[in-house]
Amino acid sequence: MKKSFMTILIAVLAFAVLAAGCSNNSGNSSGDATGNNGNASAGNANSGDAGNGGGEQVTLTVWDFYGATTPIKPLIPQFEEQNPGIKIEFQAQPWDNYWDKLAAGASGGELPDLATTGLLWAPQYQVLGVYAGLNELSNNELNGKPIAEQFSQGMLEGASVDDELYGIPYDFDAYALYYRQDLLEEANVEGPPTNWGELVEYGKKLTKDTDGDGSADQFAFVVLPDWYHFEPFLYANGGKVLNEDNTKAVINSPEAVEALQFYADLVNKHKIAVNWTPDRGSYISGLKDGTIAMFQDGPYVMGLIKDSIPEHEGKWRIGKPLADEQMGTHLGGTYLSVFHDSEHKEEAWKFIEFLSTVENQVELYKTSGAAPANLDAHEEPELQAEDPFFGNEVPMTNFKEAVEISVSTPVIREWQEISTIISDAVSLSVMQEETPQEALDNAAEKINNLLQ
Amino acid sequence: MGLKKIRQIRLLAIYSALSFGLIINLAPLAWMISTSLKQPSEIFTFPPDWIPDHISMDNYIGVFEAVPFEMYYVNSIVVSICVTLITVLMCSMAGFAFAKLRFPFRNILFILFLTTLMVPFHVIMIPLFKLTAQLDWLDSYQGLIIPQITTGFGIFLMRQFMLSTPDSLLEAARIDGAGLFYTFVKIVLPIHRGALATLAIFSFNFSWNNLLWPLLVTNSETMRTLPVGMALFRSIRTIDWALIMAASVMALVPMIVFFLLMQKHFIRGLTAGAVKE
Amino acid sequence: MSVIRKHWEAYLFVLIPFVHLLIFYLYPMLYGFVMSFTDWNGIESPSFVGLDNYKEIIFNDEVFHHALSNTILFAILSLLGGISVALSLALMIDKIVRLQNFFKVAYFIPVITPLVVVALIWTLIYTDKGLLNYFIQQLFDVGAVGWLTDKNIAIYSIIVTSIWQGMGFSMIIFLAALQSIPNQLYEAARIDGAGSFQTFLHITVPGLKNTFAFLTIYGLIGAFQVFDQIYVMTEGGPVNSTQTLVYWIYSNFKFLKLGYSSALSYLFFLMLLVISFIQLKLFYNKGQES
Repeated sequence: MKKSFMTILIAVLAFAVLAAGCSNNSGNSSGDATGNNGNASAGNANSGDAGNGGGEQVTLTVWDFYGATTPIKPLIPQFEEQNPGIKIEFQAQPWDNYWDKLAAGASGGELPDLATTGLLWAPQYQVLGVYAGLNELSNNELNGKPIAEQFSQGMLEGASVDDELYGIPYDFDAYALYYRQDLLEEANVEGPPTNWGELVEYGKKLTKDTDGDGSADQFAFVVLPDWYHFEPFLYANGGKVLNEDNTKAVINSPEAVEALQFYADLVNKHKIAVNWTPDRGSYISGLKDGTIAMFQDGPYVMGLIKDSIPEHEGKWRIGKPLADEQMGTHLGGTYLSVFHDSEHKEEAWKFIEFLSTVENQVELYKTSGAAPANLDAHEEPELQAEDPFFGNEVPMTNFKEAVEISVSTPVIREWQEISTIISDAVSLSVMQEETPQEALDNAAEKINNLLQ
Repeated sequence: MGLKKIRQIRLLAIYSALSFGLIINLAPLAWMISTSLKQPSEIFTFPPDWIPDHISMDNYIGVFEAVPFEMYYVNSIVVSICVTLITVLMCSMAGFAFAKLRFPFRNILFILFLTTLMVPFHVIMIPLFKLTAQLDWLDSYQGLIIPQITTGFGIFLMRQFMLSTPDSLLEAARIDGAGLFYTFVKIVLPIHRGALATLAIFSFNFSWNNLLWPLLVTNSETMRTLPVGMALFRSIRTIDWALIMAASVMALVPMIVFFLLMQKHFIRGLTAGAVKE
Repeated sequence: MSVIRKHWEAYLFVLIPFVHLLIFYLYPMLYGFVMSFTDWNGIESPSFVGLDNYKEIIFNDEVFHHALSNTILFAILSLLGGISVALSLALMIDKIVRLQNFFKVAYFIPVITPLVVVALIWTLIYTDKGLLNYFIQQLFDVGAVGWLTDKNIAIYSIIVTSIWQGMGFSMIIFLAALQSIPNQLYEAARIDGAGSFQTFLHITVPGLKNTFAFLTIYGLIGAFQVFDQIYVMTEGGPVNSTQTLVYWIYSNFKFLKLGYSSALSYLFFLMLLVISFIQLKLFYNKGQES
C-alpha cells in the first residue's frame, strides 16, 4: 500500500514538474502584444518598453495577411524612425484562415489595432462593426488630400457602409485582357478583341487543332467556372447581382442570363474556350504550353507569368477589359482597416497614412508586384516604365482603367454565401447541367431566402 | 521440397504486390523533393517533369530567408514531444483502468471520453480559445501543448489493447504483493510496447501537422509552429510552390525519424513464454 | 465516500485525463451546445432562437441532406475498403523479413504526407488528361472520364484517395495487434497440421477481434468526419456531390453562422453517439476480453 502510494505521488509530481517546466519558456515571448488591446487595461503606457523621457510609448499590433512576401514589413523600420513614440508589433497571419483568426479574436477580445483586410471579398466584418469607422479619424483626408480623389469609386464603395468608410484601399485587383500577341499575329488577327463580337470572331481564328488528333488543343480563351471570372461578363452586359437597396436578387434578369449564356457558349457553342475546372490545377500550365491564347485576370498574374514562364518574354500584352454594353471587370483588393476596439486609433491612422503615401505605394509595387490602390502612384516612373516582357508597353495602364470603371460588390453580410451560390450556377451552366435561366433562377431563389 | 517452393512463390507474390503500390505511395514524396529543387519556371509544366533541369538548393535557402524557419522547427519539436509524452502517459494509465479495473461509473466515464471524438473542432474552437486567452496562455508553450492533448482516441486505443492483457499475470502480481502502479509500470506497459508506440506515432503526427489550434493561439513569430509558418507561403492570390515544397520536405524528416524509432517496438511474441493460456 | 476510498487507485489513474477532459472538452462542448440554440455571428451579441436552427436543418436545408447521404456513403465504403486493404497489407508485411521496415515506412508515408501534396498528386491522376484517363484510354478506348468533375463519380474518387491515405493508419494498428498474438498459438496450429487459411481463420482473426472492433468504431467516427480531402480537392463540388457534414459545418462557420453551425454539429454528434452505441453493444456482447 505504501509503495503504491509513493509511486503514484511521484507520478503526479513528475507530471506537475513537466507542465511547469514547459510553461517557463513562455515568459520571454510577447505576452505584451495581446495584453495591449484593451481588455480592461488602461490607456497607452502599458507596453513595458521604457518610454522616451516620460513620453507615452505606444505599441501597435498589426495583422498582415499578405503572407511571406509582405510589402509592409520592410517599411516598418522607416515608420518607427519617423514616429519615435510608436512601435509596431508585426504579426504575419496566413490568408486561408483569416476568418478563424477574426472570429476567435473577436469573441476572445484578442484583436489587433490594424490589419490588411479583404473587404470586397468578406464584407461581413465591416457590416457587423468589427472595424472602426474612418470618417472622423481621417476628416475625409489622407495625407492632406481628399480621400475621394485618390482611389477609384468602386474601391471606396466597397469599403463603405451607410456612407461610413471602413478601410483605406491598399492594393487593387481588377481584370483586364491578357493576350498572346505572337499567336494573334500568326492567326492574322488585327488586334486584341475589345468586345464580345470580336471575341467570338477572332476567337475562331485562334482556336486550332495543332496536332491533328481531331480535337482542338489551342484555344482562344479560358473559361473559369466561378463567380470572379464571370463577373466581368455580367457587368459588361449591364447585369447586376442585387437590386439598388440590396434586398432582392436580380441575378436572373435578362441581361444576366444573356451574359451567362454567352459565357457558357464560349465553351459549348462557339467552342473557342476551354472550361478550366478546379481539378486541372492552376491555369498557368495552360498558358505555358500554349493551350490558352487569351484570358482575363488581375495584375498579380503578371509576376506569376514572369516567374513561371520566362520563355514567353515579349509575347504577352495587356489589353482593355472586354466590353459589351460597356467594359466589365472584376474588382478586388486589399484594404487597411483599424479595429473598432483598438485603443490606439490615432496611431493606427498614422501608419495607414504612411503606407498610403505615393512613395510607399510604389514600394508596394516594387516589393510584391501588387497594383497600388492609390491612383496617383500610377503616374510615378516605376509604374510608367515600359516592360519588355509585355512588348515594351506600360502594362499598368489598362489595369488602372479597369479599376476606374469597376463596380463594387454589394456590401452585405451574406455576400460570401451569395458568391458561392452564383459560382455554383456558373459551373452548372458551363457544364450544361442546367440552362443559364434555370441556374440563375435557382440562384436568385436561394439568394432571396438568404436575404430575408 | 514442395512446401518450400510454395512458400517461396508466396513470398515472391507478396513482394510483388507490395511493390506495386509503392509507386503511388512514393510519388507524392518524389514530387515534393523534385519540386523543391526546381526553379519556379519549371513547376507549371503539364505533365510534370519528375527530374528538374537544374537542381538548386535555392528554395531551401529561400525558406530560411523568408521566415524564421528554425524557430518554427524548434517549437514544433518541443510541442509535439510534450504532447506525445503527456498523451501516452495519461492515456495508458486511463486505458488500463478502463480495461482492467472495476469501479463505479467506469462505463459512463469511458463513454464521456469517447464523445470527444464525435465533435468537430470548430464547435469547441471559440470557447476553447476564450478559455486559453483567459488563462493568459496565448503565445506560450502551455497554450500550445495542453489544449492539444487528445484523450479520446488514446484512451480508446489503449483500452482496446490492454483488454488482452492476461489476467493471470495481473493476479500473479497481486498475489506477490505488488501495488497497482508497480504492476502497471513493470508488467503491463512492457507487454504493450506496440500499443504505446502506436499511440506515440499518432499523437506525434497529429500534433506535428496541426494547423488550426497553433494558428489561433500564437501571434508572435517566435512561438509559431511549422504548419502555421508554412501556411504563410500561401499568399492572398498565389501559392509559392517552390518554397512550400522545400519547407514540407524539411518538415517531413522528424516525422519519419520518429516513426522509424517507434515502429521498432512492434516486435512479435513479447507474451511468448510469459504465461500459459 | 467509502466508494471512492475503496477504488481510489483506479480513480487516480483516470484523474488527470478526466480533469483535462472537463476543462478542455466538456466545458467547450457545453458552450457549443448552448450556442446551437442561438443565432450568433461571433461579433454581435447572440440572440436566443430555441429550436429554430434544428428545425431549419432537418426540414429546409438541402445541402445538409446532400451532405448526410454523401457522408454515409463515404463512411461505409471507405471503412470497408480501408480495413480490407489495411489488413491485407499488414498480413503481407508481417510475413516478410527483409525490407519489412522499408515497406512499413513506405505504406505509412501517405498518412504523413502533407494534404496539399496528396491533393496535387491525385488531381494529376484524376484530371482530364491525367494518369488514370491515359491508362483507361489505352486499354478500353473510351472517352476521358471526369473523375472529379462528374457529379456522379466525384465522391468515389474521393473515397479511393481517402482509402489510399488512411490505409497506413489501420495497417500499423493491425501490425501492432498481430505482434501480440502469442507465437505459441501458431506453433500449436502448425504442429496440429493446420493449413495457412485455417490458421488465419481460427487464430489470426479471433486474435484480431478487438482490433476489428476498435477500427470499425473509431473508423466510422473518423470517416464520418471526412473534411480534409474535400477541403483541398473539391470544396464540396461539383454541385454538392462531395459535400460532407463536417465540410458543411465548417462552411457555416465561415459564413459566421455560429449558432446554425453548432446545431449542425450537435445533430452530427447525436448521430455518431447512436451509431457508436449500437456498435459497442454489438461488439461487446460477444464477450468482454480476448
